[in-house]
Amino acid sequence: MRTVQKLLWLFLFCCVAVASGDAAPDRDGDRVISGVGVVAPDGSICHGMAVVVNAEGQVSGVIPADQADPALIDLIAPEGSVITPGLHDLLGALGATGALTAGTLLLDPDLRAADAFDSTDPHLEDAAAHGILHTTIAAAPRGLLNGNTATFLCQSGAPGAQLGEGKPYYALAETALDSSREPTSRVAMVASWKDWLATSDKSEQIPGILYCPDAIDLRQTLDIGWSELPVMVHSGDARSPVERLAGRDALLIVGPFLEGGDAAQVRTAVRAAQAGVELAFSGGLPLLPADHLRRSAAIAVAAGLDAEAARRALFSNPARACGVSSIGIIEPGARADLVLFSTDPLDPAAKVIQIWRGGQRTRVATPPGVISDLEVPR
Amino acid sequence: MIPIRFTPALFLVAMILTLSASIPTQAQLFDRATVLEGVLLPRRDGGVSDPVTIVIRRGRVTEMSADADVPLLSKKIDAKGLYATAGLLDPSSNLTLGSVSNGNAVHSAWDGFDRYDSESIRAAIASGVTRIQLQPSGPAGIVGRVSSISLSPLERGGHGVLEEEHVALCIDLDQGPSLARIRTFDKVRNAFLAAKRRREGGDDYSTDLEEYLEALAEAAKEKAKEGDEKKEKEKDDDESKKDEKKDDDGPSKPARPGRDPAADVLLQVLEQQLPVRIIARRSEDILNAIELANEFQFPFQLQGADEAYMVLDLLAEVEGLSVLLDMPQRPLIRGTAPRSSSQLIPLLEKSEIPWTVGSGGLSSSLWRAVRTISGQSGTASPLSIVNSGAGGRRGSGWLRRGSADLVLWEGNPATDGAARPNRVIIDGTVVWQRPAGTKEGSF
Repeated sequence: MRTVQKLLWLFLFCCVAVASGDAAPDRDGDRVISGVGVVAPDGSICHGMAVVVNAEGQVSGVIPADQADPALIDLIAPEGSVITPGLHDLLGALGATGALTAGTLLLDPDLRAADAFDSTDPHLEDAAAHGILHTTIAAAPRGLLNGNTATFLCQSGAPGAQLGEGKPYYALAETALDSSREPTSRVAMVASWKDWLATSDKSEQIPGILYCPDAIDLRQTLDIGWSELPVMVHSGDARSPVERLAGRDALLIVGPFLEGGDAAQVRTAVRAAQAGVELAFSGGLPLLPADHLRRSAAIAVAAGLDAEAARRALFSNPARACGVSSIGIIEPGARADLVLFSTDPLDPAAKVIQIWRGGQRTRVATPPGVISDLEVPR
Repeated sequence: MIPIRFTPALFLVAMILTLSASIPTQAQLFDRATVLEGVLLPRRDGGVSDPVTIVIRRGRVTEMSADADVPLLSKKIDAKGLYATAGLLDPSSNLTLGSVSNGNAVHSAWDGFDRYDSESIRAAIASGVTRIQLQPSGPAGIVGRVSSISLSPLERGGHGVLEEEHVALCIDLDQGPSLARIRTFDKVRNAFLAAKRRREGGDDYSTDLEEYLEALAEAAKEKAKEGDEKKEKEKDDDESKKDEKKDDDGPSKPARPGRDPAADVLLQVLEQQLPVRIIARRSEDILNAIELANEFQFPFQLQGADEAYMVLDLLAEVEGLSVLLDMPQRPLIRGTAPRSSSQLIPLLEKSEIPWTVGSGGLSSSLWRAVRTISGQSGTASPLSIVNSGAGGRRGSGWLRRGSADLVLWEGNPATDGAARPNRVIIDGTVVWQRPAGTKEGSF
């Protein structure tokens, strides 16, 4: 079944490339990364492919490696290597300076997380060296509506160009309660949510990202009657009603999972995935270990998560969660923000060899035997 | 002659003795072998064997070949497509262990092991770990002694059989800011100096005791010679007798050194009867560890060793040194962690310093740590790494006849990063398996 699925993706890649006329990368400025496994949007890995990157820094095609024009080959990847979209630190604090706190107003649609982004933050480069090429930041969820999220490329020094418009960031959690203003109780908070859904203009009810970390938060979220479910940030425990999300096209942001962390949270995520819910791994940089995203995936896979679901949770789903369609996927028209891993990125042994940001290549791994990488810090 | 009325009673006793003697024989006769059919074995050369049949009898692998004799009435497990390895040994684990508030050389990690923490133990077993070296954690300095534990199930409930209580003495030089680490080093050094003085004091006591015994014997002889004369004098003068008695008190007995169990443990280290494990990550701490070992003449295992590449020349000169790498979690914040190098392992290999990998945590992360470090190594396969730490202990190393612990993997653990255990067998018993239909495993 999996083989058939992979063949279908291979066929789809070829069809898209041929249909768009980009199969033969014969335009000026096109470069080819050849001989790699490519992470497909469904999370499978298609081996023996080549990725074509155009001069505009976009992917212009994914073709079988043997169809690539040898004259345009920019890089022949090492055997077994896998090219992926950039990893995505979702709702962490990577690139954010100072505290961006919502909650002064209960519903604050004008708060812009983008204002807190600092493109000179050196952590952005450290993260990129670990394959994390995108960061989505948001205000601390102290109100019901906490402004908009903002997604940026991890590149220190470059002008911080925001990717996409961002999404409204909601909260139905203890963090939204404040003794200095209403609501001060959970009952009142839920009532406020019901009022807002019933009385506000439908055009204001944009499905955004909802912070509902605990089991009770998710239960009440599912009881208040959304016309379209938001993306939910949920840690949860054994009481989390994740099975109620089955068949509702739900997307949960889970984690980050740490070694020695709460096993109940990992099991909740696995239960959700088994119920057909799509997952995305939450970020946590710069406070968490630099490899926390891949570590989260490895821990979830060890706990029973399907490998393809784990790859989707690493690459395509974070982009979907924050509403940026041009990243998280390798297909014609997408940004060429790519990472070349030495092997399957779910394998903790995988190393980042090269990264591309907007088509610009940076070599990360040093050749063996050279002590030139005082990696500060790990 | 035995009276005939005792014959039935004797017959009964004889029957009981015969039956009791035959019980072990019956147990052996009815001991059901466990047979794993269609198993694939990762080989040392990186390849995979053809499917084999593994026979486990009385808790040990007895046969491992394509044409193995399958005993009658054996319990068969269909393991087609599964890969078998020996159980993993975590040489640095703190499974179920809390931090002790006041570590010392007497403290034993086994004392803090919670055999009934089924959730943590289950997570460790589910990751393929069957045995651990439990390492105490606590304040910086001499923390306590490492214990070796098999995660076998116990009949009375819980998991964990003590294999060896005192595997090594653990010294932590890694905690705290610079000044605190200098003080820690001084504290440890002073403890060893005190132990050394105690040994010298013990030697002095032995010498003094011998001299005392000789003097005592001498005094006794003199006393015997002068016995008669003294008796006459005693009769003449009672007061002079009292004075003579005072003179006859003889030599004073030397004081025996007081009990000091912690110093006695350090003496075992100085006598090289107890191995030492020193946790040091920064170059200055590693230099302190080397200084300690040189001054007190003991070999040691260096745990952590992130900045070892900076002092590699000095490390290479230390006799009996080995390195235990682990994967502590560190944030992306600059200046908070030792400076690591991805070239550390090639450099250790070039210097012929043996190294292995431990989880340094809850053991459930051991396999991920091994795979991560195998990626840095470039040459060592994950299985060879995990087996290098196992040494020649029971049930460890590459799977072979006589192995007691066995893990069946879904996928080749040598090459597949996402491979995970399907069943874990300890002493012939399936202690954990991932049931079909669900992704969660259970005991």
